[in-house]
Amino acid sequence: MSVVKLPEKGELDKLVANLTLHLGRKVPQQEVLAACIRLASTHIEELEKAFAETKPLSTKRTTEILGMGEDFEYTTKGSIDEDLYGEES
Amino acid sequence: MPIFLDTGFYFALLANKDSHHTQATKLLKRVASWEFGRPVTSDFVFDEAMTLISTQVKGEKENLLRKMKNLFLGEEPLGHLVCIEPVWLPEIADLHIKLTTPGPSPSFTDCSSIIACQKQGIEKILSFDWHFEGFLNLIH
Repeated sequence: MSVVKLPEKGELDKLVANLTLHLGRKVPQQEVLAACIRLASTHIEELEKAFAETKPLSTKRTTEILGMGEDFEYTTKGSIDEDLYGEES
Repeated sequence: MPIFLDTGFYFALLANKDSHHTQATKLLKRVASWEFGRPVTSDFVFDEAMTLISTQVKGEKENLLRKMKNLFLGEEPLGHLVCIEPVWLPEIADLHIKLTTPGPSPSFTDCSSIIACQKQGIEKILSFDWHFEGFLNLIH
């Protein structure tokens, strides 16, 4: 048994109440939490999205980036490494 | 599982005349939706992308440099920027020393990307550079 402090205990209470309604019986909070952890472990990509510092780009931003391209002239020897570091080809 | 974005992808997005431009724009939609995973890049890649513009582009560069900065540091960056940590530098240098040959060899920045991926548990890289083959799964 270990103790973890929850910032929003009310959300857990609501989840347990909602589950009780669906099941027709009460499940102890710690069992609900344990099930949530098991469930989250199999949905790691969704969990990653919830905690990541960046989010998938909006359609507006994607369109904006697609419109950023320009027809500028540049010199290249064929690869970025060659251009920047003078790598032998 | 994240995907690492390499310099060439950023440059190809801005350079309509780059041989990889069309492919980069196709890949952008999939990167944007995280189809390949959460996009990640590094401060060293940012350095390379800015330097590439300042050294290789002819004529006016300020606007392009601003656009590149925006892709990395704007409100909605293309990828999460990982800073290469000083404690990783010995490993990066050792890899660079190991892979440097008289012929074509990966740059120090390429080696920093490989080590950054190892440290962050990243197995895929979006790159048009063959140097990453054998180290990471190449998406191009």
